[in-house]
Amino acid sequence: MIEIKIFGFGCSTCKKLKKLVDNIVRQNKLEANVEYITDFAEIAKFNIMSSPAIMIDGEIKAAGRVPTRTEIENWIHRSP
Amino acid sequence: MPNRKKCTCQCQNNNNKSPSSSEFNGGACFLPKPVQYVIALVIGLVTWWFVYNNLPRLSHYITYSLLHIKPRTHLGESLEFFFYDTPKVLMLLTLIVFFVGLLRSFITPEKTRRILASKSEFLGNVLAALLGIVTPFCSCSAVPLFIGFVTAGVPLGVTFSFLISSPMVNEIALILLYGLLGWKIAAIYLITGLVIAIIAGFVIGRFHMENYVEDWVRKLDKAISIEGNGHSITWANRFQMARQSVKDIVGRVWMFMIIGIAVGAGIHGYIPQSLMVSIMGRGAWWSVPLAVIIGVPMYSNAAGIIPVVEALLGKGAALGTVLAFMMSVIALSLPEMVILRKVLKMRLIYTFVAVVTLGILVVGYLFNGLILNGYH
Repeated sequence: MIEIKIFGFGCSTCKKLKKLVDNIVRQNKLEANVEYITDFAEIAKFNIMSSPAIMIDGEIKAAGRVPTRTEIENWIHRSP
Repeated sequence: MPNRKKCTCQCQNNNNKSPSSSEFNGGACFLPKPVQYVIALVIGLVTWWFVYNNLPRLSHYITYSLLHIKPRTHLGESLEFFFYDTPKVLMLLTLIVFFVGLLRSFITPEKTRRILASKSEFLGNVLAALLGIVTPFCSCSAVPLFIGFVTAGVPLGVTFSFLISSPMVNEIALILLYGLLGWKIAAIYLITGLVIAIIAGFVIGRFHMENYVEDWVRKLDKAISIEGNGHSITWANRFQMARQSVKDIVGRVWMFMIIGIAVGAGIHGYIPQSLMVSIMGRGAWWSVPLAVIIGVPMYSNAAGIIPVVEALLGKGAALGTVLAFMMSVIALSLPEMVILRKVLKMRLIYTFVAVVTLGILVVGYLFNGLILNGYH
């Protein structure tokens, strides 16, 4: 089970990232738990200041940008 | 602008379509990725330069030949102004947003915070205001930035310097001012904006209002690391970020801008100069506070307000009054206050608004008193 967390503050790019990840999970039939976190206090705990941010299995992979599909797929495949 | 769209290179397109995560350097692509980006960039820049230099001719042609408007009429002048200014400013905006986007991939909020956390107060205010120019800011990111700064031990006043300068002094405002009003006004705006951010932040810091930050923010764990969180970024990512910021920013502001330019064109063509001078001219002492009172609740970004400002100035409005109006529209907005309310108690919000408003008023009167007045 892959744990994916997406952090967003309500901007349009954050929703775009969420959609992209959902799409990847569905297409690759991955067993993943995708969480979309928008609560400020919750996000602050992860030390994130720029949105959107993506965390895969406890590691922040990107912040402040929407990564490409390939990047995300690579991260997912590399995680055990 | 279509030239930007072409930047997406062939192999990246192929790659996006395939659901597998195969490497994309074999087969269709002969050149390494950074080289492709540089080539696309050079082609884009040359096209940009060519189109930009031919804009006056183009606008003249559209207005008088294509639309058959009679020359030297109100309508003709307004339209020519519209068809020249709109593409010109959009093109400047695209160019600058792209390069600032590239720059921004280096100066992240996390880095900014690391720099600011270790500085003494006044120096911190200066640096915070300067960093505010290039760091991305929209009202939806004000709260996370605020929390991130305060929990990392950045002083409250320094944080405010950043929060003031970030929306007010940005590349969009500066490039529009430069494009429509020239570098002198852009420089005046840059310097006065920074001074307001530095001094207002410093003053707020002196009030020691840490207790007026919402309790839940103060209870957050202060021990979190202020080092970056380790994600790596490549040049391809940076270019992609820059392209994305062009899409986001230009896509967001073009509407504001066209409305602004349309209103400006209307003012250009139809409002008599004598009326403008009597309302917003130098002689009317009350015009500065009035401009601020009207400006604070108004919500627009730089893109919408600056074309209007250009027209106002052209019709004889005083520079100080216009600056005050523009700054109060851009720097203080109701939606931002509502968002900040999540982390600040009312009293601190009032103080913030009062200090910034005072700064804007001083700037307004200062420039109305200077000889620069009547600058066209």
